[in-house]
Amino acid sequence: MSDPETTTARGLEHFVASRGATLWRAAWLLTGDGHHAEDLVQTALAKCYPRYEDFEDDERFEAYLRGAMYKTYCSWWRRLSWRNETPSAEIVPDVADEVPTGSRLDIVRALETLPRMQRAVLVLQYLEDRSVAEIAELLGISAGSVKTHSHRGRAAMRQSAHLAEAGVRP
Amino acid sequence: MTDPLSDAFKATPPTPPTTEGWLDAARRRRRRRSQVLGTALVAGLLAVAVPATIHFTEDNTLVANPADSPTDVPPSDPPVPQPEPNGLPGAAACWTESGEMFVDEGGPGAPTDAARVWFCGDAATADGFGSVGPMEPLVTGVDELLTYISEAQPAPADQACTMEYTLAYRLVFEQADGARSVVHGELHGCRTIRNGDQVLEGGEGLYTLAQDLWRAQRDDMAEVYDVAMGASCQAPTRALLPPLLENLAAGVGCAGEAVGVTDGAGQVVLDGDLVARIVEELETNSIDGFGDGQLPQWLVLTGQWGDPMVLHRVDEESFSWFDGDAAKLWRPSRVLLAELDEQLALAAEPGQGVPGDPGTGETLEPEAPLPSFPAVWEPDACEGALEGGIPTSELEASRLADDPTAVWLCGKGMGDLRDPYSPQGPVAPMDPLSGASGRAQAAVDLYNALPDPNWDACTDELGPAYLVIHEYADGSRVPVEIQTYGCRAVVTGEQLKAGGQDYLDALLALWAEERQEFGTTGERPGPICPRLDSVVAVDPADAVGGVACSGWPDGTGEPRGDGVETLLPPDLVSTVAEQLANSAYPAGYEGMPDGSTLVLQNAYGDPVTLERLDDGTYRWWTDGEYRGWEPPSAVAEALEPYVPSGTS
Repeated sequence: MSDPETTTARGLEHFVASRGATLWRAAWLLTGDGHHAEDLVQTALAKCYPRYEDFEDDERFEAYLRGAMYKTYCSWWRRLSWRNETPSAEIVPDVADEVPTGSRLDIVRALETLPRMQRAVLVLQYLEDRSVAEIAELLGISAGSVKTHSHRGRAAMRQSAHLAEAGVRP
Repeated sequence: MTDPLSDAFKATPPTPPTTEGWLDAARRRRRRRSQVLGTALVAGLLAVAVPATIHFTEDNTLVANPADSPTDVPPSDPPVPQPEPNGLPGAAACWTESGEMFVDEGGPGAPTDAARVWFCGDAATADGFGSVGPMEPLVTGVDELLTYISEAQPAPADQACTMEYTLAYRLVFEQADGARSVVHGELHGCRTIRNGDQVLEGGEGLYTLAQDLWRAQRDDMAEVYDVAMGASCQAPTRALLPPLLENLAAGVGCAGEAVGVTDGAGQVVLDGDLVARIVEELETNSIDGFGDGQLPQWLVLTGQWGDPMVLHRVDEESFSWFDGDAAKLWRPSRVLLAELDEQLALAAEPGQGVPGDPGTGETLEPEAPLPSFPAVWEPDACEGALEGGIPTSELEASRLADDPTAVWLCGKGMGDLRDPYSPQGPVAPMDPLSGASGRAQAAVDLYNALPDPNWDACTDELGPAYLVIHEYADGSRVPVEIQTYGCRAVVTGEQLKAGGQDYLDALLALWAEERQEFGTTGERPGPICPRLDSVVAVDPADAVGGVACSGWPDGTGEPRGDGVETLLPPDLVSTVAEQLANSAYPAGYEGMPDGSTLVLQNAYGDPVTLERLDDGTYRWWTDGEYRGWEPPSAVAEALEPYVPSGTS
């Protein structure tokens, strides 16, 4: 019989293996860069993994971890410097190094013009299909603010030449 | 559900990298930041071995209670706040026992090793000019500060230094045995570090590093502790670690006898909900810049770690504050300002504002609420619609009654109306459909003919909604909501019908007929800025009036100035309208709005917003596309007093 610590470790490994990529995709849209995305996910994971056993299932822990990730992203904006820690002990060249091109680059460029909270709201809304109430709870803001940030973000992206080139009209 | 933006978002991120090693990396991060140095806490505080909730009572006594829920076991030397016990600002380690600033003049400076570090400001008294540092020590990353100092280069002897004051700080290094030594830094003058008898470069870099290390430590400790700190009216105006807005949880309202006098100031504790609403509005209702003037009222907000954020009242409508190093001016919404005025009035009364004092028993009449940003005008029949305050109810047999006397179309707010920079609308016609013309009945017939809901055509887009208000001879008013987003539903209470967009289009066709029959309506009253657009398609070449809006948020949402609305003279509007009729061209998505707009109105008071771009041209959205206009130099010159190019 495995001891609880080993069971937890195996559960976490499985969680990261099965859910890490999904979180990375959101982090990539938030940060626009593969390594920063990995940094963001790992920062959230470092904060949250000790509480893994407090949650009934992986879905609830993922929601908790996702909230920490988005709040960390929004609060990084207020810091004086970006903490560029090496995400892993060894950097394996992979698609995280890929430079966006084509329509992918257009979306990235369009998102880059947005303030962080607008970007966070749009990613939650259009990548993760979250409702206004879910977004408000996750970011710790009012539903009215969610709608305002969404409207402004879409309006700004509507004016983006990059999206026009990509044939996307918000 | 299909939405091009949603599809694009989902298709954009590349293939994720392998997650192998992520959990180990996260563990290494946590170990680096939670390194335990194995020293005891300063006498008088608990070494917490079980999860606990620690809080300060109103007289700043530290109390620890068992936590309500299981948390991680904290390290044995947690960085618990240790305030100066006699009310001096910041941590106890920043002061001598006799109440003087601990400066260690002539001391050795940074040691080779230290158990913890304290970050100390330069405010000499609790309510003095200057700064205050965090009340908890740094216990992880101390070596990074020592390394920075040891590697700093000597400052050039002949460098040019400025005379302005910005901020001076101290890092007080504490050994395991309690011995302390100080390194001084400054962000003004020569921006140097003074380490013993050495004068080194890097005052700003050391400051930034200290801030980053404290914040990193707090990020990790946030999972372990829940420390709600009490705020005080006696607070230095600047924090070395400006609190993050999202962490602010407590606050006081303060009223003094004169500007700059905090001694004897009346204080009232603000409840948590009010603080939360203040924080939300600080984020959305603030613009860059300093206010002009000051009144003897202020708010002090604090969060988890006790760093103060002071909001000084500038005038009847505004407060000034600092977001990090950026000066901000906050204008509360009308509702919130009224609440704050009520609290500050309480604080101003001796005995009424101090907690625990039963006061004189005199009943205070709250002052009349002061206007802030007036809401966008709407017809009386639509009052409250923009704020979303007209609920719909279920209809008998899902049908509207016949023979209404009038039907109004009202815009329902989609943005946050407390935010003056949020778009207000789109707005609906100022005039109704009349019973006499038969078109009010036609509107009822349209609703009654709507089909059952169709869930196949739903999208994710958030957008405007409208209310159709049906008035009857008996005085009753029946609202119906049209949603032009999501599933385009038509809503009455729990009842839903489909075809919201078609229903709206048909109603607008009725309005066009009504206007053709009955003529013009008149000018829409203000406020208008920064933009208003109508649900009715408006050709700006038909403009008969308008306003100029300058210094409002640009295309990214960042404010460009103080936000001013100015009425345009009729002859200038005519000139512009004539130009638009002859010189408009199809425009694209290129260009960034610079925060200035012209909001023109037709003879029915329907507005259309022309946004000015960074290149000086104007653009507006109509009929599914952008149209553009480049004003000739004479017209641009005529517009300059109303939309100055310097405000953008």
